Amino acid sequence: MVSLSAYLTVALIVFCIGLFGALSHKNTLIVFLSIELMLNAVNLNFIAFTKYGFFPNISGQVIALFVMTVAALEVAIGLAILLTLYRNKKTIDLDEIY
Amino acid sequence: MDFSYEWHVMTPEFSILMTIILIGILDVLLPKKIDRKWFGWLAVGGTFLSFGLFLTLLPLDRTSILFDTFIFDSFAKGFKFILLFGGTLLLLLAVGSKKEQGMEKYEMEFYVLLLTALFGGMMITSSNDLITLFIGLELVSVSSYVLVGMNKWSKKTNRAALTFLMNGSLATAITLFGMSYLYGIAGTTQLQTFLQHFSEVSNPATRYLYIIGFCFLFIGLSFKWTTMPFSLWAPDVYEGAQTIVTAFLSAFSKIIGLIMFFRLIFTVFSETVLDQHVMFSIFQNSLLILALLSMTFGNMMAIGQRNVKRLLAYSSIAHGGYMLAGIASFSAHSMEAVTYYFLVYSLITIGAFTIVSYITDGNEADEQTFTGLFKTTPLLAISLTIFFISLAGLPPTAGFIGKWKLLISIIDGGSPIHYVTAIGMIGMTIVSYAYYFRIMASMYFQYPNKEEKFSVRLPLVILLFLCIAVTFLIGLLPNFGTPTWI
Amino acid sequence: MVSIFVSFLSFLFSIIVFIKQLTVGSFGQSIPWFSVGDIQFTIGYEIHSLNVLMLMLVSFMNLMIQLYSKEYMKDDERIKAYYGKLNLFTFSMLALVISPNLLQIYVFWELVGLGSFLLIGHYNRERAKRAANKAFLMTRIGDVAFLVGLILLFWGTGTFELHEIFHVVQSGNLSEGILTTVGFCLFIGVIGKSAQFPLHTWLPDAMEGPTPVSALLHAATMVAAGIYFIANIYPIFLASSTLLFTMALIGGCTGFFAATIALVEKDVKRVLAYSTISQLGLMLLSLGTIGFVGAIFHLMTHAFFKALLFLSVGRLIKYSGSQSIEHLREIGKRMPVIHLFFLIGAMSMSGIPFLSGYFSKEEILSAVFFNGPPFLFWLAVLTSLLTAIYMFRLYFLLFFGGAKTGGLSPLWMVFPMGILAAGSIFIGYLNTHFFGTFFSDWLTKNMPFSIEPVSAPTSFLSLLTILISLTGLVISYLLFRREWLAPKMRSYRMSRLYRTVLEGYYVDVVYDRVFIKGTIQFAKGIGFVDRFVQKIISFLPKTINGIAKQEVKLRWKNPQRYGLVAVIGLLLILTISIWSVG
Repeated sequence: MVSLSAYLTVALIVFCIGLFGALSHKNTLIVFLSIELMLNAVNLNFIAFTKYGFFPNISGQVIALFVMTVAALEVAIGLAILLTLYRNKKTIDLDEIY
Repeated sequence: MDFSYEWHVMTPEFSILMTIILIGILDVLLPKKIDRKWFGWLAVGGTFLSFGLFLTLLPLDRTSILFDTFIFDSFAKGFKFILLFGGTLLLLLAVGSKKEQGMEKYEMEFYVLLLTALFGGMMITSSNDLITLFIGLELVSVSSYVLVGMNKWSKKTNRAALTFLMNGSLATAITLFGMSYLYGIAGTTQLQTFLQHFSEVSNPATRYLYIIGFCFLFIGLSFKWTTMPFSLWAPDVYEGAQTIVTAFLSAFSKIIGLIMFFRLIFTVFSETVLDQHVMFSIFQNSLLILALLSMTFGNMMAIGQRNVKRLLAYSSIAHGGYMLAGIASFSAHSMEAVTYYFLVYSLITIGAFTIVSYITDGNEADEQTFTGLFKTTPLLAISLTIFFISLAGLPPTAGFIGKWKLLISIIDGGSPIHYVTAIGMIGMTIVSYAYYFRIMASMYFQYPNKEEKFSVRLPLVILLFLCIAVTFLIGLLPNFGTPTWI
Repeated sequence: MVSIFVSFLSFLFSIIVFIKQLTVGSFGQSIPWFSVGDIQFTIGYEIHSLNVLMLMLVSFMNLMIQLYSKEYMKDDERIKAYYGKLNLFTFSMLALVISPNLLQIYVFWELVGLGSFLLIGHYNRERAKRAANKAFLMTRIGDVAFLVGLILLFWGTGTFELHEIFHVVQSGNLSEGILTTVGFCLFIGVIGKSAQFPLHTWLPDAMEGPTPVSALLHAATMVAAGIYFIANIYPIFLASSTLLFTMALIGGCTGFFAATIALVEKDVKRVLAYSTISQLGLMLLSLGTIGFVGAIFHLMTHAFFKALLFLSVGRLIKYSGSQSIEHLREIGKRMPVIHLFFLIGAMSMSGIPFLSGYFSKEEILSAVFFNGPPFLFWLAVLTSLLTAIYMFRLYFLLFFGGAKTGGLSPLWMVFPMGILAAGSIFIGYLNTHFFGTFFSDWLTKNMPFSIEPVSAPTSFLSLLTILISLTGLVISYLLFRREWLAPKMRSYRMSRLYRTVLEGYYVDVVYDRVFIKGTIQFAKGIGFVDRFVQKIISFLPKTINGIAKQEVKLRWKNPQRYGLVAVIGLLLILTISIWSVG
């Protein structure tokens, strides 16, 4: 059986990778992808806790569902804003939009 | 399953929801020819209805429905009042002010989004569950992303929206990460059960999980109420967005974030004891220092700023610091002081932005525009003076009493760091006079660059009158501002 | 007109209150205002001798100034706004003096500052705007300390009510350390408000405002608020000897050094401004040496003659449109009435015997003589001497020479000035040691705290006071009247071969070389120190400005940077928290 800490470590690593990507990549699309990665790390946390937490219960999985929905929502809006920006500036590079 | 909940405690929320749906449906059904200007009045009507329903609910004791996820207690009453009041004012502002070029087509979207944010905020004040808190927060965030980016023809707005969205989703991810740890320790989403479960855990590692969880949650949320360290986005976004949206962000969205944090502190954090460690005392110093930093940063940067919208953005960072200090000191008088301050702050910011939107009329909000305002339109100049004085915290306005109450409640904390914060707050208030009075001086003592009168529109006059009247009323008779039901 | 009528009513009511106070003694009332938790804050009023005196003084001065302004400001297109501001200003001051608790005092203290800000910047000039800002921010620096002092006092005594605070202070429950700190903080606030060294520079700059405003500011409202405040919470200061000494020292030194600057200043109004600083310094010195009555008495007489001086100078300025002594030289002589008024004011201020200023100055000197260290006494004597010199310098320079064409002054101006002039002469007789000390008896009887009476001035002191003023007059005459005529005189005497008189002239030259040049050098030296201190004081605003300039670097950067800052912050507080939990 894999212990809780292993799950948490993986989630933490994924989160940090996402964070690094979100802060360093200049391509807006990749930044969005990185943020998705961070949210997935969160989901992993929630689900690991539902099974192996101190008080195992199901509501963590419910949160995970909500998180996924919200992530999709944010990306949808992000893409819409990116589109309008691209129409005006012809670029999605974060260093060039200013 | 029993569905006979006391649904009536949710009627204010329902009426807002119904208004949203009504506006949406009407927009689809009505022919394109018909002017949609009156949607704004519809929205105002919806909030009025909601406000009325809310007032009828005031005599209720603490009520909870939906398995304790939705509660209606004194906390919810106090902050819902502020939100509804501020929301009404914002809608009035939106109805009264001139839209930017090309925005006339988007009446429906604009009001629906504003109302959605209001709805989300009201859910937050009442929610007693991590899931509803999160959903309420997202309702506010997502609608504000769109609101900021609504003027899609302006490059500045595009950039502002992208900045806002990127930092916002980063903040969401960080918040959620913190929440996941807290959930992991407690194994529940119910805020009331949190404490009980915390006391049963005996694993020493939970302490660290808890610290990580709290810090992540706090930093993520600090995006919403723009304090250090997650506040640098504010000036850009405030400048790029339409002035109404800026008012919304500065007065409304900020307060919603703070309310959420206050709720969490109120029910969970302040009393958490893990392994005989009173956890809140560990963070208290950091929070107060961050509050102090925000005040310093906001006020100092505001001095160097000539664009009034950016200036108000920095000032809002500083005010975030004051409020955070009030919340973080968490003493016997915090609740009262913070409620009062929120009410005052939302009023005067909306008032100030009303005038800014009036005067700039969609142009750059440079300080030059305000020169000699007293000469051309004394009404606006005097109103703006009252708001500025109130923001600066000078008597006899409500801003003074608000700051005074915050000060008393901070000092009540009693430790050296509290005193330092209080003194820092006094000092920074003085620094803030420098820029408020700079603008006021050029308003009064100089002649205008161009002789141009600003026409006065009715909804704005009502709005200004409301703001000023309440600012003075609760400034001179402050006991009105802290109603007995809280 | 409405405004003047209202001012008149206010003065009338003040007199009614005064009569009531005379007949029934002190009275007051407080109602709850608001509460934070279980702490109640009240609002109310209180009338005792000091309050009622200030009440009358302020409303009276306001009435005079408003009458005068009717003529003085009649060409101003913003006269309505001007009267509005004037009334706001006076209202705040009146409310300040009847406040029974410190919170209320603070509220109106700030409002007085706001009123002065609006009035100083009244004229549409860049310099006026800057002066207004400076006045406001300077006094605000003092107010930080003031507020801190208030809060410390609150946590020491648990109340803002003056009565209860005096109670606690007199019962000795508060350690002297706390009291000294509190008193010191409050005193810094007063330094800012009453323009004492090193926070004084706003007052000369505030001369950018309309002249009647300056008169009001100097006579009864803004700067007097500081002195009034100290007198009103006198027990706190009495309880700590360190505090009293600091007060006396700062007062004495400011008095002296402002007087030297007044001696060489070229702008008429700035001379008067520095003279106010100097007189306020004397009042503080008196308060610092337990001369309570002397200080308040001088505050009152000073209000009369300073207002008179400002109004007379205002007439000249109105006539010529300039404030510089050079430009005003020719004009003074043309207005005999103004000439008379200015002379009365100057004489009263210099302490020429049997005018108001003489009696109050004598009172102060005796307080310092009996209770203060000798060097402060001699400093005060020197200050008085300098006062006489620079006042008559102004008089001789402004009102002698030039054509003697009679220019009539409008009645609206002459009337208030006449009343003030009468006051400058006679008000002093309220408290003299040969007719009776009605004023001091009344003042000390009705205060909420007891004040030790100061021994009556000895004949040595009376003589000294007389001597000082007359010496000042003579020196001034020799220096400024004679010297100014010197070139003419020289040619006249050369031709007529008045060699012997020429010798006398050499004396003048020596005088000039040794005395005047020396004084000028000295004043310049002090001016240098002053600038240095100002630099240190302005260091803070400069730094803040420097930091503020960095704001440019924050504009429209890559949005990722904002996130980066947040993450760094996150890591920091994470580390701190984990470290502190161990």
